[in-house]
Amino acid sequence: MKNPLTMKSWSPYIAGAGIGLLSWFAFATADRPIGVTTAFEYSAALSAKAAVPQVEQTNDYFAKKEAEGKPPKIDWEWMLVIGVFLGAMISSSLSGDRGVATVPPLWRWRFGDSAAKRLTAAFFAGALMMFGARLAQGCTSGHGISGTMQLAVSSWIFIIVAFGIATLTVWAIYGKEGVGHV
Amino acid sequence: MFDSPPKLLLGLVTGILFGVLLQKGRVSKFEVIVGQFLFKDWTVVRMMGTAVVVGSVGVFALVAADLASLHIRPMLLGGVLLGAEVQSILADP
Repeated sequence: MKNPLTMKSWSPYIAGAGIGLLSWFAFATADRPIGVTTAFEYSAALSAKAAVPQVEQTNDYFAKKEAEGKPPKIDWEWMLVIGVFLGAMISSSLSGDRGVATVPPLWRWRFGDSAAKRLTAAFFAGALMMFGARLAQGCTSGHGISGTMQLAVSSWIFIIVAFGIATLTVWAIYGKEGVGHV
Repeated sequence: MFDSPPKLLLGLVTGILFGVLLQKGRVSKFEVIVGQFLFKDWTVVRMMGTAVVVGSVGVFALVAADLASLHIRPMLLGGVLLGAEVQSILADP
């Protein structure tokens, strides 16, 4: 049998089942759901505190988090984010799936071949996604996968609304014609 | 400031496995994400759906056996709705 790690892709059902099993592991060993964006919030809070120590007194975020028993720190989830980078790098290196286009064909068809334009759009869109994820206190992982599997109302509403609005956005940007360019 | 070293290591290992699964599942790719919302490529829904179904069984078994607890994000209607919306807008690049 071929080494699964050198394969470029797995069936989405296999990869999905793997993430489901990994969630059991996370709950069993760390009593934590898999999530990603809280680590970014903590990094921002810790950076602000390192740069301007008095922010801990002037911004009531810190007192609120302390009261919740969740002060920002380098925690399990923070290391999980580092692990995701490493794991994805290992996976793509072993399978030779590394040639990611800066400007993918669909984008080029719609917006032209400027790399600067796409990178700028990706940067601001990424910041917007992070803003949204922290407003909702969760992202596609924290709400979309971990929250929905716990049958959390907030997470089901989040993922339904996120998918709905993303669909409208993508159709507004690429439209019917775009389907032929994916 | 820091979780205990074993917990940090556990997070790192969990993350590496998560990264491998996401990359092998192709959900880190622009065309797969946009393809889903154009209804041309159902990878994202298939993968997330399977993860939720498989995960749910184990998580509720662990909770029933008192080996873990549920961690549910609060239902802040404004935050969740606006957050989902903002996260979706330009979700593709």
